[in-house]
Amino acid sequence: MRAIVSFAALCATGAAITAAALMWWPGTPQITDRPETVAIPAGSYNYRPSGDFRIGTRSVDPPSEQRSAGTGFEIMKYPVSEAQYALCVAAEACNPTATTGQADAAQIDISYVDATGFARWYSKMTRQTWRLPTDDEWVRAAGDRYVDSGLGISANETDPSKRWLANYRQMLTVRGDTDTEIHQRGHFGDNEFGVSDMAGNVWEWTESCFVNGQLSADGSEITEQTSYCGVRAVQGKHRAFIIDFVRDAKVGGCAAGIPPDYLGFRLVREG
Amino acid sequence: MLTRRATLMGAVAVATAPLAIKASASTEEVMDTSSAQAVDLSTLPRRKVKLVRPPFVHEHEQIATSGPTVVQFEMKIIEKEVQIADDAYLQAMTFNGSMPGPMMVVHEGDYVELTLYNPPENMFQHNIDFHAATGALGGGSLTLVNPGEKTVLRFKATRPGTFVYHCAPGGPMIPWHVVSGMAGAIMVLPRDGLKDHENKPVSYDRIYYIGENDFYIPKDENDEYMRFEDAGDSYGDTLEVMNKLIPSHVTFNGKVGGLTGDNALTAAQGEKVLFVHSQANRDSRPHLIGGHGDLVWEAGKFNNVPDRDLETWFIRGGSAGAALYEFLQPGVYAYVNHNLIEAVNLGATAHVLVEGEWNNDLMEQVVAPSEYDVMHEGKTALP
Repeated sequence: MRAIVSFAALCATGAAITAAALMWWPGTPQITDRPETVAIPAGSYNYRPSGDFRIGTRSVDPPSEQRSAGTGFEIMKYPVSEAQYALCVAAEACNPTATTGQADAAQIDISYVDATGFARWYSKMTRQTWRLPTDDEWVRAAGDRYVDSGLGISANETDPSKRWLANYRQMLTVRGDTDTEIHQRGHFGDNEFGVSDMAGNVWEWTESCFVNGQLSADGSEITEQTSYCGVRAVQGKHRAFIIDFVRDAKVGGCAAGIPPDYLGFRLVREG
Repeated sequence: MLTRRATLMGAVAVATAPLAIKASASTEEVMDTSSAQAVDLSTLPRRKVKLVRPPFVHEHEQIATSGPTVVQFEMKIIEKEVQIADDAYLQAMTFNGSMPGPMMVVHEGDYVELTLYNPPENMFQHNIDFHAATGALGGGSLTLVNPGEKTVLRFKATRPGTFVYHCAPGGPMIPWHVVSGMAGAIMVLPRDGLKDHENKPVSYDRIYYIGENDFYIPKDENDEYMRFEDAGDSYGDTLEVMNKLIPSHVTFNGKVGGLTGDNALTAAQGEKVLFVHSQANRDSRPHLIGGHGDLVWEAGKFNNVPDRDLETWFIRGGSAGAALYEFLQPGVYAYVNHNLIEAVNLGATAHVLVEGEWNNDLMEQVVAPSEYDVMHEGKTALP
């Protein structure tokens, strides 16, 4: 992921941070045909923070944290489809993007800017608050589809090339045979919660920014961190950081890493 | 409905060029050498070499341990549809089924004897023009084969270097066949091996053959790449794109990602790797990100003193060059065409995974990326 990060960070321009606020929408909804959602329960889960973490100056895996969520949340069962996105484009609230002509396929060629634009419009139309998940929420919703990004390289490894090569090879392994066909939603199946298509060939935008963090000497906890929001975490078979206006990471991804196949999104419903 | 291929498979049409293509291959001068003075090579040893798929190169000696030999190669021309990117297909024409065609290695003074097969299921006439050969349009005039025919060409490898070979069956078929994939390379080594700038012997531990292709895939009214029934069907639309000279894809080893991911090249720290790079149609400028060309035969001809320490080297369209590099540092390297638009957006990127021990003397991250004190730091940088 580091290669992607460096490239992204180089090319990123100013970041517009759009924090989704819980809002109340007056009037009657214009879209009542709401998408199927899945309730992700409260409870404990494993999470590895997103970004670049170091002990002193040495890059290491961030700690895999056992986290506990006191509340559940509701997330779309499927990624936003071409048909759903087309409504927003027709209403001139979303930027047009490429389509495959399959109404029920996940809408791809989506940037962070497009995804958050759709969320704003969709919230207005449904009189509900919809937003992108955080990286942490995506991991919870992914359940057993979540691929831990730890490289398993010893924190005492002194040779930086080992992490770099291991990262490249891990990306190859988790991808397996590349399937670059655009499928109908549901093709990649449900996870244990009933959330469909997690970690298929469409990587999904999250709200989460890139974090530069320092770990304690034993690597067990984060002692300080700063965020950079010109790039956002996208989640799929592996995590990547993509500049917010990029729609296709395959081109313009990175010189020496392996970028996501396609970029799409799904939303979380608040309240 | 009969496809054009099916029509051509009929006996009548086999020997003629496809109907849709006005300038036929038969406009090219076709000759034979049967009346010329015979040459007796019966005393020379003969050796058969099986070609391998690029980026790999068949086993060979760097320094010849015997006198001149007749080296026999075989290649079959395969016409087939090939996926060149996730969303793009090419009605390809290939030497031996790969893009680029396989690389041959012989020594100066050897005779190259190629048997070229054009199988009956193909649609087109093909031939081969070796830039390493002398006379008869590089062999093109002696090798024009119809579907179902074979030919054998022998030429003497008189000039040491890396050279392109390509199909050149006459008129507008020439560029079309080349940008449909019909090009490869041959390396003619000096009998006593490669020499550095001081004329001292140098050798390589590994060799990779990077064949670069420029493709011109037409798009339909929905901005999607068009797929075609067969190569003849693709000609008209492809020609329109070709004549604008802007490729839709620029690839290594025949497809976007042809030498990345699972197909990435590998090497070890301390290994000397010879990269042979060919481009039969269009200029290119190889660059190894994080590395160099220690010794570069930019034009590919070994009688010239190699350039040293190059950052980027130039491959003239229609030539093959060679660069020798010893990997000094482990990690992931990108070998690109340093027109970065072509490298990143059109496909001309390869990766090299190099194992070894990091050397902080060559490079060290002195301060990891971290926030700085904007009030007090960074004020001395600007003039």
